[in-house]
Amino acid sequence: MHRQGLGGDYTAARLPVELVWCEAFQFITDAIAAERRIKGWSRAKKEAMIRGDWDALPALSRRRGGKPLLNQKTQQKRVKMTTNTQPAPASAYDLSPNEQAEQSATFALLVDNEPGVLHRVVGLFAARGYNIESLTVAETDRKAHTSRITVVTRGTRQVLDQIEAQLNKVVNVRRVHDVTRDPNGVERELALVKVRGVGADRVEALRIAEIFRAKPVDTTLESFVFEVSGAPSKIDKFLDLMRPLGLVELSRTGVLSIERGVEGM
Amino acid sequence: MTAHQTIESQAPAAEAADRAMTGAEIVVRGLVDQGVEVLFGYPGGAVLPIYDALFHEPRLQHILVRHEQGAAHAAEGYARSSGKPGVVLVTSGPGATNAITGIMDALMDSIPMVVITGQVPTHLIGTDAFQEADTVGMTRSCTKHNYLVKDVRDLPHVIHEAFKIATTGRPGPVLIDIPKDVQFAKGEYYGPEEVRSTHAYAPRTKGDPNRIAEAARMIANARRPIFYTGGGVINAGPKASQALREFAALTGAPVTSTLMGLGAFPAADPAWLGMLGMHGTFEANNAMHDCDVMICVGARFDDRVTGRLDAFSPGSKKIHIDIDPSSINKNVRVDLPIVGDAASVLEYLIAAWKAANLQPNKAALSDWWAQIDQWRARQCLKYRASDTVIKPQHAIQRLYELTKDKDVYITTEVGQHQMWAAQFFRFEEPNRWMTSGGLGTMGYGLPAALGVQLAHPNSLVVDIAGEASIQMCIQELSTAIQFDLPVKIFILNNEWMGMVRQWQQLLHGERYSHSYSDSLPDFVKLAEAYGAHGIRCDDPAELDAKILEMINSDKPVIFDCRVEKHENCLPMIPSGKAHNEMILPEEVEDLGSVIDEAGRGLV
Repeated sequence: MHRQGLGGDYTAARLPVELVWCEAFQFITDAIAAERRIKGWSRAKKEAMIRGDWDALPALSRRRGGKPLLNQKTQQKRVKMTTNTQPAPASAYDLSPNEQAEQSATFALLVDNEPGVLHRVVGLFAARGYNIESLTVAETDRKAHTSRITVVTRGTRQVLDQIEAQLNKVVNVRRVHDVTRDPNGVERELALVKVRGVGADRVEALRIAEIFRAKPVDTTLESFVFEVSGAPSKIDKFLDLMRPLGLVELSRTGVLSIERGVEGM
Repeated sequence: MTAHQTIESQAPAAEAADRAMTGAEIVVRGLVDQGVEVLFGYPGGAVLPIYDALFHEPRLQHILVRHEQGAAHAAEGYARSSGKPGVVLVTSGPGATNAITGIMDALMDSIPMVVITGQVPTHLIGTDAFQEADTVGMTRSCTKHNYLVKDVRDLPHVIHEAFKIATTGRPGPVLIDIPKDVQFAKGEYYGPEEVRSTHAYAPRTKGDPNRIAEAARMIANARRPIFYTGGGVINAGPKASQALREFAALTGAPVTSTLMGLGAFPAADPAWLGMLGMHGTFEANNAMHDCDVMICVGARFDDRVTGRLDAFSPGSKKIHIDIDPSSINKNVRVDLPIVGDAASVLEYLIAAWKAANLQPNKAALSDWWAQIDQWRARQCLKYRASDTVIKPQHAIQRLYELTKDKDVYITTEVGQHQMWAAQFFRFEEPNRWMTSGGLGTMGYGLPAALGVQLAHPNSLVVDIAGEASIQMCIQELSTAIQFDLPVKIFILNNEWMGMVRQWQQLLHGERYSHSYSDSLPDFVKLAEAYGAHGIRCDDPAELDAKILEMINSDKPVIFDCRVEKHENCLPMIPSGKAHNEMILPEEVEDLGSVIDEAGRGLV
């Protein structure tokens, strides 16, 4: 139609033209949107599309003002991250690969000891789609009606900041402390581990338990129950070693935390 | 709960007799001491003691609604138009569950509200008793805070604290669940000044002075600044609107607002760009996209405002003033957050601006305004007028023209009519516009209008409605008649759930699945059946006279305005698109020309 000079005057004045790319859309609005999008691209990017060189497209994306969105290296990193089952970043301009990486965080909460306060905290995590990796809660000060909740969660830096802000908003929450980000934060966990085995495995289990300073709290002729405490990573390591030796049951307290130094929370 | 231990019981013996009363009387006395004048409710078995105490209390006006959802929305309308908290009183079980939609609506739109629900007696809780529901469990995620009061000694401090939490910080709904035996139990009453809060609740209202000074400098250095204001400015009271007007004038920057913020800045001001967002104006959205400094005041970067996040205002430095720290960096990363009350921060900004003797960049601003005028010249709200059929936009325009000199308050339901009202009705003052923004609750407008009318008995209150939305809470017309509340219901009747139909047309291949309302009632007869006045209009020539008839009626009125059936609400940012990818009216009506001149509207 364009070639015959029908339709718009703009194209009619710039003949001849050749069809280099076409795509079918179900709705005209989609087609218009796609045309607009493509027209906003640089020539190099349009040519890459005509060639079908899809891999080149992200690198050729440029922001308004001509500055590259991200440099080549971070682009590749981002591609790698997305294939690595990472969710696609919600926003490209605030993207920095470090901040997009998920990390673990431990929050210590001082809360009013009232019925339903745990539900409020857990409900907040559930309602906003945050993950709880471990949770401990107990009354800590009967006179002041306070309990302490320690919750371990995962998320990008932005999500963790949002979790902290949301927790602070709960009326029953008196204080929120990000233990992971605090250089003085101490995290400890206790586990009870049942290991079943005879012969060399049994001896080896006992030997490793000694290295980890795990205490046998029960023993039969073919099993031990060990009590081990320490940083969560130490307990993970201990479990890794016990697994081939006949680990049959495991109970963990979840992380407890406190700050070094003289000040209380 | 053991909080009663913290209440000082140092009252002299003579006074103790005055203080002794039942739980129900404590509730009523607490409401009176909190300055409550109106409450919206519906009685039932588990709140009968409180209703009994109300019987002897002339200082509280109780508005009997027809459905508990209506009570909650009416309280919202009352609160939003008056700045005072709305109060709701409903029974246990179905009473509480019916109110939940309105409670959630208040949470999303930050409306101060105190909801009192009855509960089955303490010893029956957990036995699946008649009309028992786990009200505090169900409302934990849709209230700012809630209480189950199991001891009458806790009641005074809980009531006063509930009002404090509902009205301070970012406002929101607070629910108090009171078992029937606690309402009967004898206790002692303590006034608002006598109780001590048991929570460490202390929202921050004053912004950081260093950040405020830095913000003032950023704004002064801006070449293309814009104010993006929201419901927080309305919630912060008339002082905030005043400060916004003053500061905007100092900076010379254009102002746009969210749906919730309409009225904070006068629509008549030349710096007003209109609403932004999905159905906002072309100039507001393009200015948001191209600005270099964005000053967000009391808005929360909602998805209806931002459009596609990764293309949201890509080149700008963002200043975010909000009282809720969790609103900051939630959806959009900002460069300079200031936590504080909008009124206080704006006043400090003005002071900082004057103290540093800052001046806007006049040359850059005049270029910016020239660009904005080009966008304005597109006349994005233009529609094709008609002599034969009433265009919905025209109906709103006429309603505006015929009411603008009056003391008018507008509520809406949810859908196309809501967006047209936001686009075509112009607000000069805050608290004049009540709409369900966050939750988008159909059925909000009529009960909200009742609340507004109660707060402003001599004003004109119009509920701009759609024929589908209005039927969700139409029963409240009966309340309007009972309490002589002459609200006007202006229905833009196109027989379709218009916004659903529009999306089906644009995004679902014109498959209009269950969006046509067959068997609509005769709204004129319906009005008459309730005892209201009914008016029907389908001729553009008669529109003005009939709108005047509606305004001049001293009864509640249903105005059945038969409008063009297939009008689309435009302009529109299709979901998932950026601010500068708006669909304008002429592009949809004349698609062919868009294809040939595609991109002509793009910046």
